Amino acid sequence: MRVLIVEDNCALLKSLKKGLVEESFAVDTAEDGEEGLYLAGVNDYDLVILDVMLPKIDGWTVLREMRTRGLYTHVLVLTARDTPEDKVRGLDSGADDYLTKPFRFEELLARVRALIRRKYQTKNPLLAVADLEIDTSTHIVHRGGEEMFLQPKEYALLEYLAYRAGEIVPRAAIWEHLYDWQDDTTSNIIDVYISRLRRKIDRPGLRPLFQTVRGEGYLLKGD
Amino acid sequence: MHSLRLKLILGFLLALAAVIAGFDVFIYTAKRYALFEVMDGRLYAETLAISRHLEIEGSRLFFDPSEENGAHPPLPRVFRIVGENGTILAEAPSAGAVPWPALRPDGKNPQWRTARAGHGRHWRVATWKGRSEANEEIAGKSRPADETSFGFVVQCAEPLAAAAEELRKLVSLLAAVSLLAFLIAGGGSFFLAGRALRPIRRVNTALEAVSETNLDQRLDPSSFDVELHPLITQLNATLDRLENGFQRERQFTADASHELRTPLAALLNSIEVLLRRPRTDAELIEAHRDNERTARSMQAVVEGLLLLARMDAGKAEPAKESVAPDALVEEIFDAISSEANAKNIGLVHAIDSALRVQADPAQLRLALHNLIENAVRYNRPGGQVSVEARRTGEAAAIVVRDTGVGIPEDQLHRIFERFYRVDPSRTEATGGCGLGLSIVRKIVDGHGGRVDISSGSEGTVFTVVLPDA
Repeated sequence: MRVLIVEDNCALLKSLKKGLVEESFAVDTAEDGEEGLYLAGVNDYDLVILDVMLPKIDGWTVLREMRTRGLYTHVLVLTARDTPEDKVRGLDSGADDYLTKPFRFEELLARVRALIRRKYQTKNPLLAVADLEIDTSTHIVHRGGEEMFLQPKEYALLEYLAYRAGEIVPRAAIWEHLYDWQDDTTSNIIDVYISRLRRKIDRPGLRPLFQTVRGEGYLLKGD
Repeated sequence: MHSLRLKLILGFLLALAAVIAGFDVFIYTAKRYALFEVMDGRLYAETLAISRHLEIEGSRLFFDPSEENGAHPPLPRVFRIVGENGTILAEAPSAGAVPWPALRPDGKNPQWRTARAGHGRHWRVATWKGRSEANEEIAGKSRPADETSFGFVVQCAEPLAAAAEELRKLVSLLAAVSLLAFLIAGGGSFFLAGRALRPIRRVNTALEAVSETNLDQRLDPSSFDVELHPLITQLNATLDRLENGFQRERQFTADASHELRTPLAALLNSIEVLLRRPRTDAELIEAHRDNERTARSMQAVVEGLLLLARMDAGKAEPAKESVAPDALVEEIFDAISSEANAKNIGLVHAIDSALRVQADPAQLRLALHNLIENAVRYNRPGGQVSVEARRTGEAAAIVVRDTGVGIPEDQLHRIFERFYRVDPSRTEATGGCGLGLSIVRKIVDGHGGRVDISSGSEGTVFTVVLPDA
């Protein structure tokens, strides 16, 4: 999952990015509204975390401008303002959720997961594909009752495919949702991770869940 | 009790009572005058009538009441005729009941007077003075005056009981009518005072609808009586000022909470993320460095706010003494030299070491520190900060000049506002807490001085003027 954080306080930006990256998110950052709006327009983010008091263009304007341009990425507004009027204004400007500073990182994570579930139109934090089970809150994966141990990037790839289970997902899309723009890998890396996941999950004797659609992408399918 | 309604009613009733009382006195007096005039006329006529029926022979006077028969007008029933020496020459049988007033020895008896007796049984007495020969003339008979002529008085009396009774009835009537009028008018005034005060209650109701949450509401003058328009206009102006005050207060609170919550959020988030898993020493050290910087920025905001609050409350009166600005400026240059060196900014001053200004040294140091620090922070790399000081009459001026990009004309008046930033891309790059210039302004104000600012493309000049007194 790929997240954009727009926040002008460097210290907060840094620790947010660190925390989210450690939770297997790909994170892009912007320190002012202008840069944030630009990045939100050029990349397909699963979520934007947006501060309100920003240099150049403030958060409310960024939000309105995004919606005007037809960018319907989910937006979590982060602000020091905590009056009910501010919350109403935030939600009415097109925000999907609202969190006031200071906040608990755990709560932010939970809200981020909830917004991602909403994006992929599921309400169950437990993703299931046949006998494969992925707990998105603890990142614990079971296949046939047996726990699988995955590297963070492997988990991120599996989770993304599981959210889009039954769909053919292009390699470029996977790559875009797993890596931030500063990462200097290429989309070929996806093939490496897919083969690693296959080794761990589609063990011999089990029904294979990963399918390669030549020239189009990958598919995680239960039946 | 300070009730407008009560005051209106009382004032009105007092005026009304005075009018009614005056009216009553007038009617009573007029009636009394009319009654006495009629009575007095009648009595006088009677005295004249009696005088016509007097028979005087020599020094003797005869009066025959029998001649009364057929006399016009009929003779009075109560009369007496008194001689010069006080002897009663003749009197009516009923004359004994009259408390005849004593006749004055000089003979100047009032023509009419009221004779008082107990229990209100007063009499009205008319007195007519005559002389025997004059009497002859009046009686139409001619007789030459001789030594036997003598004086006498004729007095007629009439009881006042009837008139008094009539006046008493009048008083009762007037009292009843007055009381009734008073009561009716009093009730009316209660009602009218209520009506007169109704617009005030309406203003009150309208004002009650305005609270902190809808301070933008105003009273519509056109829905009130024209007499209240000045009041409404004034109230609206007061609401304007109140709203502005609240607006500034809210803006300040929002800014202050933002300036404190954001670094606090950064600090807490950094710690929480750090604690989620085991960390290497390198990670821990880096996190501590970041956190220290964040905490320092919070410290700057908190200390700035506390200082401003102390100065707002008047608890930081400057303790003025003679200060040498050149030493002060050199100390400040030392303190910020590393920051200036990092941006390759030259720090120069041309201050006469003999110059002295009257100021609180700690406060002046802080003010100049803030100005010079700003001049470094908002300068272009390789620029210069120069400080001058001069004496102009009863005041000293300290000038801080930078070679930065300058401040746009339309923002010059706002830069002393708390948390106002010319370039909102603030904190991290420049490190200011947004309170520096507010503190400068506050300190200089406390010294009775002023801060002038001018800015152009070649840089910004702050001039601090401190009076000697």
